[in-house]
Amino acid sequence: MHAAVPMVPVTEPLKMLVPFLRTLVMVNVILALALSSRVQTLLTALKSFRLPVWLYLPSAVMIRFIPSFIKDVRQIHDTMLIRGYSLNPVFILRHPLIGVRLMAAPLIFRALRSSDELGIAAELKGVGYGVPMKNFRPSVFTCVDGLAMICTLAVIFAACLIQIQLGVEILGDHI
Amino acid sequence: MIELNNVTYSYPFQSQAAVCGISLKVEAGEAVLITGESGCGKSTLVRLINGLCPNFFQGKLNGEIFYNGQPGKSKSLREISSMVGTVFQDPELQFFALNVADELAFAHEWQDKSCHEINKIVEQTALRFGITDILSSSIHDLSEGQKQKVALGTVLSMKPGIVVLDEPSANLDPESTEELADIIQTLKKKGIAVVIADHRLYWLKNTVNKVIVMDQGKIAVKGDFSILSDQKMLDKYGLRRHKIEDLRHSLACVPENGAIKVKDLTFMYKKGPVLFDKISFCLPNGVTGIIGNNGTGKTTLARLLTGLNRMKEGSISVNGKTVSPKQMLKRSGLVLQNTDHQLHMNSVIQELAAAAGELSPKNPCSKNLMNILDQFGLKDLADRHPQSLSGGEKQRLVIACGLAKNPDVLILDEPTSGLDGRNMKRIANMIRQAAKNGVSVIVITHDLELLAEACDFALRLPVLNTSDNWIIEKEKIKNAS
Repeated sequence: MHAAVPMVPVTEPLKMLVPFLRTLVMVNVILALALSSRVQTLLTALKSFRLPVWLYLPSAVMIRFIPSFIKDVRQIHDTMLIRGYSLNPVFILRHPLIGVRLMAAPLIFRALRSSDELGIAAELKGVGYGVPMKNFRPSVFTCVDGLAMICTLAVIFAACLIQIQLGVEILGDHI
Repeated sequence: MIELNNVTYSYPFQSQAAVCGISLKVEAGEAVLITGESGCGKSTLVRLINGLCPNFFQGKLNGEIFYNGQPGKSKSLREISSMVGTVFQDPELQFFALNVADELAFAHEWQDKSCHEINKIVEQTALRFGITDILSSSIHDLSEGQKQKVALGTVLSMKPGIVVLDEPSANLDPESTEELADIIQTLKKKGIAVVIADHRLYWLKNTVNKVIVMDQGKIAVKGDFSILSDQKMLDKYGLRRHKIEDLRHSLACVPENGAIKVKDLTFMYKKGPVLFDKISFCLPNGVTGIIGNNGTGKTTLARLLTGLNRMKEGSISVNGKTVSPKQMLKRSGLVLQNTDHQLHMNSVIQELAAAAGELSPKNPCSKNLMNILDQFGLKDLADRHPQSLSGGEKQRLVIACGLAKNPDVLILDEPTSGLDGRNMKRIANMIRQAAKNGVSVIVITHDLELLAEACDFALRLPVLNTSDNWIIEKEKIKNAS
């Protein structure tokens, strides 16, 4: 199908495996990062990149609110349980729209309210008025960082090598 | 010092002014309390003082506001916020960092200060507020009192001349509230002007110099704290009491027999210490207040009673019959502190119908549901979106939803925090009515007024386990003989 109409995505099972595996690799990387890092560590690392305020602040807030978001989801889930609604596959199949509404409506309103309050707090704290941010605990490049960097470069190099040497031979030109 | 001179302000797209003709002066070293019913305009007044109105919310401002004698109209929000520090009702929502030290440093990191200078400020602030031991703690692990201290510390480290506290006592227990009153006294001594907008009044008796009661956007009554001893005035403007009795130690204990019996309850979180060790108690018909310090397991006990958490050991019986946690989930109602999490539907009537088990109600305006709304004073709001209601209305709706499935036990977690006197009394009456109708109502609250208005019994945490009770009983018998 893809050969006849190039607009239609690849449908052969073996070739479909490629985007799936790529996504799997990405999910695994993010999951490992999320499960092995403290949110505060991510925030501190983000600070040391010295990004412009329009990029730093939304990213920091996004990371900062991961625990609050998880807490909100748990509380909404509890409320649903106490009202006798459980978001299991059977319930979602029977009431797909209501299932989404029960979880999404409170989350959206909560997010809107939080972002409003946080925006106000940022204004009142004088954030982003042209003064660059200064990290009060500047990061120092240690031996461990150097080792981690070497390992990362080695993995990237190996991945590129495998892709160049084996990728084309196994799966053909379309990947 | 701050001075408002005949200030009138309207929000964008609103024809009616939110506050009208306000004149007010707060001198350095003075504390002023602004109170009034919900929607009276006190939050707008706070926003005018900290510059959010009109700088953030836009809108139309008439009259003049002076900060230390300088007109506010010529100042940017950044300039105003360097003179006025604000702490909101829920400090957690204004935190940008996840641990205390980073939060204390955050605002200074944007002020072009050196690392050494910021570190010094963090250390000094932590010492000043006695929070040195929690500097590396996550903000999620702090008690409400500690969060309040961190928020205050952050604001005061910027050295403002004016501090605005919006509903500071709403989430605090009585001890933390007392501590806050002491902090305000210290601020006054340092020459800082303090503006407090709050519904709870009793804790400010020896703290504030002036009291301003607002009504429909205007200053209705002005004077010192003694004006709040006029009960007629309190009732007229829907205010809370100025003097309250702390019943936490004198309220009767739960009786030995009751409709709901909990036997040998044992519970611990994964990798955590034992929270409840074979405790037994009864919950009678009526209203029981769960009383205990932070960390004694009040909320966990509520979750165990509703079946949201499973006990490691023990049993619950209702009217003599043992009930499983799954059945308990069906036979209990739980109203959480944050109403936002509990409102899902498009209209008030649909919300109530969903809570009663009708997810796709053919006739949501059924007579029974409308009757419930009528009892809760929400009949006229049946078609409104639940999220568009005021705080008091939302609270009434979630309690109505909790009762809609006719539970045996209804648990309310801080149902009156942030509510004015009129709404607090209304909720207390609803709780009492539910108890009269045979529901065992359990209230977890720091609100001493609600405790006095609504509760018949107290369940004090930690509850001693069965063997400890036996030892105490033996001691009593020994002493008696």
